[in-house]
Amino acid sequence: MSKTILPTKLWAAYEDFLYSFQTAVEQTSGQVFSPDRPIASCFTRSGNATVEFKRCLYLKGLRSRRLSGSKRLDLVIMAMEELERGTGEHDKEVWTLRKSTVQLNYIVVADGVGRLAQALHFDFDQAGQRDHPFFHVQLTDELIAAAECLVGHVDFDIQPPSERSECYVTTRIPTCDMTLASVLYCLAADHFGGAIFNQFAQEVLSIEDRLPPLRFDALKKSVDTSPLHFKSVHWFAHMQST
Amino acid sequence: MATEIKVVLFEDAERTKSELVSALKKYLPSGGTVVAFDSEKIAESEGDRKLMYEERLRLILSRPPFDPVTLLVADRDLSMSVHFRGMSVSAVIEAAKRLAIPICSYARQPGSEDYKWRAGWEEGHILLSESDDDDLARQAVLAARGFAEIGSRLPELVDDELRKSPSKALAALLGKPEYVDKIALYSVGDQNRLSEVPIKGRVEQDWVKRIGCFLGYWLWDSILRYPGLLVNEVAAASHLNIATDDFRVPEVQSVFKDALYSGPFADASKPRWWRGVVDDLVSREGFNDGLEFVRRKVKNAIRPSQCWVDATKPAGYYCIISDKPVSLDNSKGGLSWLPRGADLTRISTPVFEEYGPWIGS
Repeated sequence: MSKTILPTKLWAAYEDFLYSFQTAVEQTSGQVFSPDRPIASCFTRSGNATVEFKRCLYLKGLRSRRLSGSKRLDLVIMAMEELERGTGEHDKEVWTLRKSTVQLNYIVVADGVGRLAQALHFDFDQAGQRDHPFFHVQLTDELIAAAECLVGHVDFDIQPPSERSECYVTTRIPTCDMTLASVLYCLAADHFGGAIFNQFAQEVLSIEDRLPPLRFDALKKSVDTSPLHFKSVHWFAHMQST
Repeated sequence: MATEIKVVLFEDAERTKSELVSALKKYLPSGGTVVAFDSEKIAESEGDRKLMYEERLRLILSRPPFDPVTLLVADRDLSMSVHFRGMSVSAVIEAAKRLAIPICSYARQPGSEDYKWRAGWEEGHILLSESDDDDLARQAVLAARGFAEIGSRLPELVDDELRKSPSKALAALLGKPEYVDKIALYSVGDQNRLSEVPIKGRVEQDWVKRIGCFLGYWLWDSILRYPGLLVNEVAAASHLNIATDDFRVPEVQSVFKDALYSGPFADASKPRWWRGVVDDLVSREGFNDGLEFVRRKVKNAIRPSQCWVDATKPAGYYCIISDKPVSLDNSKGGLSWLPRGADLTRISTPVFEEYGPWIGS
């Protein structure tokens, strides 16, 4: 299949954001590995007016204050987002984000063994998912499968969790609008902090505006109706119409 | 272009010098001149003759009939130069650097294809590897015109904001401020160029001249060379999923005429296109790739691109060493010396396996 050609401004916003994030990681002496493919090639046509973006990142040696010096914190990120082309004012082409799932695997590495310390995914679907908060994070114990970004860069054997926890697999926590960009932004705050985070935040300020906006009409309407109360009902507003 | 072009030629073989002067004159625009550096006819004080070659050259080039120089063109071997015995192009390059004059060097020995891509990686000047005088002169004049264009337009463009960022200055110069981030990515992985960045303050007096020289090298040697921001014919065809021969058909190229690059160093015989404009032309009308687009706009018989390593696969990318279309699966990218912005530039797997130790990772 030939590659999908998309407007430059669309994929360039992702490229610029990811590059800024990589620069920030490298400033903390960490490393970022990603598959040997340009960002533009991570978008594939998924429908007449939709494209899917898929990219994994392997962050090696993430800064963590809690971890002892003999251990290393690595993070595998798998992002899948779906974008839709529409028409805005004056018939201008507008791309919006329909879906976003960002999976994270935190791995603590010691003595050549990697232990899955935390697995979670952030999830959003424009159509809303039954019984799911509109934007949410789900704690799991699932390893990211077939992560291309790991090939040739992993120096440990992964040790899966010994006991499965039912709590992990059922917990869904409502969040604000978390997308790949938001997740990376929060990771930068969590793990870099201070001057490096400030510099990163400054750099990506203009890029944020170029990323496709999310559509969350039901949630927005619900919050607009009673903006002074953050009620749980807001997070399930998409189900009011079902 | 208001600026008059003056090319100064360094060549120690008299016959070659005469041939090259004629060839250069043929391509120079009206008002352009070629001055051959004739060391026998240059008046120098005894004191000056004791200086290092590069300093002597700096003093000589600062005076008439040389000053002001648009471009120096120098043979790599100048060892037979009278009064400059054993001189190499390095002395001329250093003098050019001190004066912020752009320089092209050439080697007239026919080089193999291997030599062509390896030699092209030298930094701090432009290397022309054409073995034919006519081609060499054409390329040199193309470079001179480009540097003259940059030199004449830069003073009116550069304000305090642009002075802070070479990427912004280049984006403004190219009339594409929207591509400033992509241009900035061409500075990543290009560490050799860092030492050439003119520092404002230290060299305030001739900062515009120096930044013009810097931007010209950067444009010629990196941005125009490695497909990503701009695409040459093979890279454009591959990226669009069109067979290279079919892309060369005038009716097909006319579909992309709005994307044609016309800035400094634009070469009608080796056209380049703005990749972003090409992409926007295709995607704006909802086509999946360039092939669908030209089949609809021109004719249905246009063939798709093929990866040269595995013809069953569409190409999509460009091998910088073999100059052929290649697929993602049969190539390697992300090498440390490739500019980060050059996302369509890759090395075919068989070529990488052959040259691997020399190419790096």
